[in-house]
Amino acid sequence: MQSLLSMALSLVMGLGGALGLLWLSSCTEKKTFSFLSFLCLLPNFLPPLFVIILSSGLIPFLPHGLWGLVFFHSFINVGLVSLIVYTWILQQALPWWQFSMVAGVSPLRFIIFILLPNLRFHFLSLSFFLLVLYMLSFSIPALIGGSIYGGIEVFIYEKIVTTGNWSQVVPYALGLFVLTLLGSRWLGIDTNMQKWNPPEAALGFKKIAKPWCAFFALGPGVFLMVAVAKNFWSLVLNPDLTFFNLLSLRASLQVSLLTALMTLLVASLLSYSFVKPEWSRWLLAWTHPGWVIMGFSLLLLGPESPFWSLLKNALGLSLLFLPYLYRLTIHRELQELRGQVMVAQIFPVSWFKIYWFVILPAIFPSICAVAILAGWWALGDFALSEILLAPVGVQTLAMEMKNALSTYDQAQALALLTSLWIPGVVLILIFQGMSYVSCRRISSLF
Amino acid sequence: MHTRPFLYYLSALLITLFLLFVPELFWQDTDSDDDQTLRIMSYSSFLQEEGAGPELSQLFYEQTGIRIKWINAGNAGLLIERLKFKRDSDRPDLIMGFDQFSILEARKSFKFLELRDLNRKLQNPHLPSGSKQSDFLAYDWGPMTFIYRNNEVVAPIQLDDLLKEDYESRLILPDPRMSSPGLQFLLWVIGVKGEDAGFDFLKKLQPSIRVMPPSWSSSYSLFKSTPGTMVFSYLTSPYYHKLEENSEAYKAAAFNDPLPVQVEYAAIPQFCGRCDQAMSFMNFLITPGAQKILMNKNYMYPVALLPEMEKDFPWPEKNSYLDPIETLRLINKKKELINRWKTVFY
Repeated sequence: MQSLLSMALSLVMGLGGALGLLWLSSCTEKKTFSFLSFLCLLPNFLPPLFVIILSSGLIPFLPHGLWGLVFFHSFINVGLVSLIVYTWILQQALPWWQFSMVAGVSPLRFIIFILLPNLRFHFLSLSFFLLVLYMLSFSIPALIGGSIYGGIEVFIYEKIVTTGNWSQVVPYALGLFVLTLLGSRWLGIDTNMQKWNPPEAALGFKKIAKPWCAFFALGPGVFLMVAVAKNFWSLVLNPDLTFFNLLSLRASLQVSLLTALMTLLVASLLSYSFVKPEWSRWLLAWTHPGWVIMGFSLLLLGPESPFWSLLKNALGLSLLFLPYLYRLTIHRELQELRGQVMVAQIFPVSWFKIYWFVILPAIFPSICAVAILAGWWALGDFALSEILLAPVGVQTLAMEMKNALSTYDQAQALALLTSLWIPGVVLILIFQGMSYVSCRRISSLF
Repeated sequence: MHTRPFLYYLSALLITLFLLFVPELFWQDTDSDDDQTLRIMSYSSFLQEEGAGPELSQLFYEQTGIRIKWINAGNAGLLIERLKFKRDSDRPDLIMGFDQFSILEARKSFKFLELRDLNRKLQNPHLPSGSKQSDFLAYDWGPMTFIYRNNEVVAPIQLDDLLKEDYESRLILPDPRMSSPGLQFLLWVIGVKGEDAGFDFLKKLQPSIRVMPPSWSSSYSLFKSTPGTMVFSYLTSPYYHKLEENSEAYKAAAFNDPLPVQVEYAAIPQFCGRCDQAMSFMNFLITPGAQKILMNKNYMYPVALLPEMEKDFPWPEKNSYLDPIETLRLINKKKELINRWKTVFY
């Protein structure tokens, strides 16, 4: 129930946020809009526990239970949903809107009778993505939902802890995996998008774009930025705090870079296997069976040494993040390339050459962007890292944050949280650089 | 023409990654073949720089010349599962971090060496009865109660007070399914009120509960950031704020009802490779030096008597704790109680 309600609220607020973003992109410069997009995604980049701690520091009466859960799920993801819906509207809806204006259709009627029905498969796909995301979410249901609205991941963790037997939860995890796979397969979504309009096209949507709607998309990000800034100064003034030690900074950088690199490799591999729509649908249907299960499964693989554990950790984090990222970005771009690939296949060239000269150049910047997102999310992970890295003595900043919380020291945990931007910036520089030089390589090919 | 920068970039990236991973690539487990190094497994926060682990190993080395290799098990709740995954050659000689609940699970999966003689050495009148086990050694302990901030709430003095409107949406309780302190609260209610009346009480308590986070640490973090709340934690928690933050604002509620007690245990598994060294460490754990480290780092009461502790870390004024036999009976029914708890809260 919490997943359904969270999904519904996220979609409604996301649609509102998208209209706000349309207004913002029609009246701001590209660089400003990129910063605003970052603000939309900010709540996704912070570990959920800190989102709650920072929020409760500013708002004395936060909701909890079912409504708290729905609120926080939507609060964290509304920016992401807004950005996705904004992109769809920009890509698809300009001609529909122009015709509607000619026909004198009101903005509300346009949204209800033209936009939503025509984008129904996109919204179905997004709904399913959100549903699975909320069903598999652990931190928010465990922290805010109380016992009643725990969710599946909480149930799996509870089983492991109460029974002390990991094997007992494997059937549940597998059942969940199969269920989401079948559900996704049954939906059979093929969000084929052939059109693309540049951001300037947002000007065309002047009448439906509303400035106040931007609050939905940007509100959570701005709120959290204020909360982080408010805490930051009090932390800087506290001489007892250590913002980072070099070893944990290095470990965070290793985890983040390896996860990004692994994501890059797996995403490249997935795009290489892009042959038939049927395959692609199964790939889209893939959802991970849970963090704890993933962690314990990976313990069984390979030797236990720092290097292997870092590799396993990066593989696990990539597999956890990639389904969502692949579904939302790379898949769409691959669909757009279908026509070009079909033309290329007429000529007697190998699939590898088609991949190397047609597919990869087109999607590589997106793969790099996805790698950055995965690497950044990996920086905040302590659930999987604690299972895989703790035994080999590797401590990341996120793991130290959790330890600080375990020893009453919340200020120290927040200080470590603010240090996460250091490896984050290194990650962005490296992978943006890779995207940049690869684009130059591609342009030199023609 | 532009292919060259791309290759340069890739080479630079690979070299950077190689340099970043040099220590891991050439890592060798030098301790594994050393017969003298004692291998001890414990949870993350115990082993971190600010935790008790590093200071204990330093003092132990100074006193005995035996080095310790700590094995980090991550989360304390997954200690036993982690042990099952260990290969024979990697298994620890000693494990620290069990509590009353996990020792029952541990006994089902592994056998442990007898520690009766050591337990006989614990002659602390403050130590709650029933804390001593034949095969586990208690090394610190703490009664549990509600912690609040001065002037934010009126301190409750009995469990029934928590049902009052004054406490509506104020209680932060760790989830008993996933957290040991959460389970302590459940046992406390049932221990004081009896099983049926206890669950009736929990039903009535629902409006007072704000959140039930999955761990003690997340409960305490939410308590610290949410004014006007109370958290179920250790009676010794205010000592942290007093000693580290110089704050007297945090108080422990003094209940008339007998309090539950959380005890931390260490044990030597029968598969230990360096059993003599492990036994030396067990003896060391209850010495005043080690006990002082545990008290100052874990903010828990020591199991040994430390005369100098009276000033900053006074013993609890009241020695009324849950009946250990009744507690043990309830711990044995843990699964059944949690299932019943679910029927109240689902």
